[in-house]
Amino acid sequence: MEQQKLTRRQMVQRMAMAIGGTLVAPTVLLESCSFDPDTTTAGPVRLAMLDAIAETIIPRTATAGARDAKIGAFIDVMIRDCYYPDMQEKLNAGIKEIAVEGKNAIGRPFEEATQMEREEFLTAYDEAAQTEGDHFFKTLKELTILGYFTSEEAATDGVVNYEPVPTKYDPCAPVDENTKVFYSNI
Amino acid sequence: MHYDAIVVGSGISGGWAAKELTEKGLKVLMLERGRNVEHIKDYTTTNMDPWEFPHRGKPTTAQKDRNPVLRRDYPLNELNPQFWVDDQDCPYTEKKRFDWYRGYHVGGRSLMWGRQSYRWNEEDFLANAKEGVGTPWPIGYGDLAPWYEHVERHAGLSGSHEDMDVLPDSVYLHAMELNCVEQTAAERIAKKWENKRRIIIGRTSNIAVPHKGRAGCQYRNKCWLGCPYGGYFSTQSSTLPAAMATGNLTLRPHSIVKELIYDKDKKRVKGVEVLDAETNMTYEFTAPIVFLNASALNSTWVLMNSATDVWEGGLGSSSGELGHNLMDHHFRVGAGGTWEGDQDKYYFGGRPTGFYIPRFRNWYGDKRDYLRGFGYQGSASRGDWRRGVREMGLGADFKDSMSKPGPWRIGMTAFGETLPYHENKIELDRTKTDKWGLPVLSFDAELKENEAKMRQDMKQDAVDMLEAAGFKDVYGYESDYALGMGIHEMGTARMGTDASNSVLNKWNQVWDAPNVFVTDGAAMASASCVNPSLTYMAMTARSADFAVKELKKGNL
Repeated sequence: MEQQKLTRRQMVQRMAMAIGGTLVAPTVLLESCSFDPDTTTAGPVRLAMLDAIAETIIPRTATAGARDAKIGAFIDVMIRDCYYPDMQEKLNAGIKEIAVEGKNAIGRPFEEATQMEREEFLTAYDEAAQTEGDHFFKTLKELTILGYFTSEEAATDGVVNYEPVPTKYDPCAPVDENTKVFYSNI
Repeated sequence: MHYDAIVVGSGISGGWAAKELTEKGLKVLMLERGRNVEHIKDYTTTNMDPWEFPHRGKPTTAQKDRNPVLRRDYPLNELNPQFWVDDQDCPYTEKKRFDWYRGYHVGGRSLMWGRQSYRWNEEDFLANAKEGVGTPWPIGYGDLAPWYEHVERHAGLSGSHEDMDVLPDSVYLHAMELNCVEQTAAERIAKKWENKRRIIIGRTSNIAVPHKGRAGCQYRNKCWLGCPYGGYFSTQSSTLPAAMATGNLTLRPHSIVKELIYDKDKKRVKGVEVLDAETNMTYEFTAPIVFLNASALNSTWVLMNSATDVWEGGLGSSSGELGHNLMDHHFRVGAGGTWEGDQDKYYFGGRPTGFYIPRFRNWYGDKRDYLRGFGYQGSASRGDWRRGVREMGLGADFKDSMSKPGPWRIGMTAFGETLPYHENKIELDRTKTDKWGLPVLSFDAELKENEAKMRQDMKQDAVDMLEAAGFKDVYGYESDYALGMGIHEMGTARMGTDASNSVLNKWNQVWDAPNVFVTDGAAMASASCVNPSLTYMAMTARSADFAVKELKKGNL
């Protein structure tokens, strides 16, 4: 089994294949490495995968990351409750694809890879999501961002300036490098 | 049970009818078809943090499946579903698409309304007669002006004094402010168009100062969840406490008015028949006067369902106009753009209004190939993390970037006047019933050529103004609009000068039953382009004053 680290170019090429709208490539790879994480039903494997994807987008720094804010569980609930079966299938297939392809590319389970490895791997998906309007990764990124920036952890850690009762309106407040985005509601 | 007056409905106009009638000493029964909503106590989601909503405000598929109408626009959401009518319980028929977003509970849509508050101008009341459109208004600006002032002093408005004929000033407690970018845009647009096109702060029934026992706006911008600070006008924050304080008001929730009980000998209504929505029991309440404030289309529903043994089409149908001339404000067309300057400026607080650009078309001597005009609502703001989905990036730098204010952008939407067309109508559909076995409304209405022509200007003028103001990447947009989306239903029981062409006279009395007053959106003979609720308030107060005087004279 291919275990060595791929170059970024090789990975992007591989991803271009996998993302090209067909699941042929991942299926072949799946068979070749007998790795079959259950990423489609709620459970520890799925939550770990979703947390890992979300953490790749919003990592822990000096402030809480997506995993701290339990964004994996949030995405799971959103997929379950807010999308119809066709979209659910598409999202679940995408998550599985990341699990399978990620392990293959990185050489270890995606959720155990380092932040840098995961970022490097998901960059191809992020690029594809910018050019393809309905790419599954766009939805995962959107849900990650929504869940994280409206989370208690993001508010508590000052990632955002969440002010539920502002009491005043300042129409021309100054901005410096520390100014965080203000919001009072969703 | 007998009362001095019955008010059907507890929303914006019903609340005003109850307040005015009780303060003049009448014992009033206010009937509301939905449940009670107590001020503050029943605003169950208003103090929740965003993370307490499992879907962060988004509707679930279960909600969507249950509410095929609400899901067409923002009313279907996770934040205040308790204030929107369940589409399964309350269906209706669409011969043509009509989006009907309703609130059946005490306070009605006064709890979720957009709060923009503008007086009509003199021309708004004259245009029908001058242009031969619809029917002439039986009242003019002068008739309503003192009543505008009367309701404004109690409701509490914020706005700026501009002294413009096209948009008469109200009485304001204070003005909210344009932000930096909006101020600059306002200066440039006023200069370019010599003050004929102007950006002013949106006039709203939000007040940020204490007023009549209300603490005032805290700039949370969560109005539509119900405000525990009484920051905006609603039945609960303003008219209901005043009416209750008189000791003259009885409020009865869960009371669906099935019909008005018509006495054909006296040519008067003697009361109402009520279906209790919880028990399905029927009750009769009597009073010498009845105010219909059930919301425009439901007030007409009640009329259509009344005195059908005398007139097949119901009370007020003798003119042939009951149910006709349905109007809304057409919108979802405008422009947006980005702003390169002011990167060192931001704002703080959730301002519960935006800017407003008063009508300038077919005004100031301008002449278009369509009638009437439109105004704009909009705002400039800096992007938040939501922009991240359209940007490349993963990891710490991306996180850091999304935690900071994004680029400035602006968006504005035009709201245009819809003309009253006789053929735009609602009817009773007796083949379909609601949860309570009552017939439903059927809609058959559409925009026509005048609106289509106006929409071209609504888009292009917005683009021109944003470009002139210095915005970049300016784009015009036009989204799907269906009648009703403006949630400004008007007409179907219009006022007029003669019983042959209108349902109501100049005091909002039904010509065929002068002790019935209809003072909500149903009464409108035209739509203006400004938000209508303030006019319903003024009209209701004026009618209530007249009704009590007539009652004392023994004329009713």
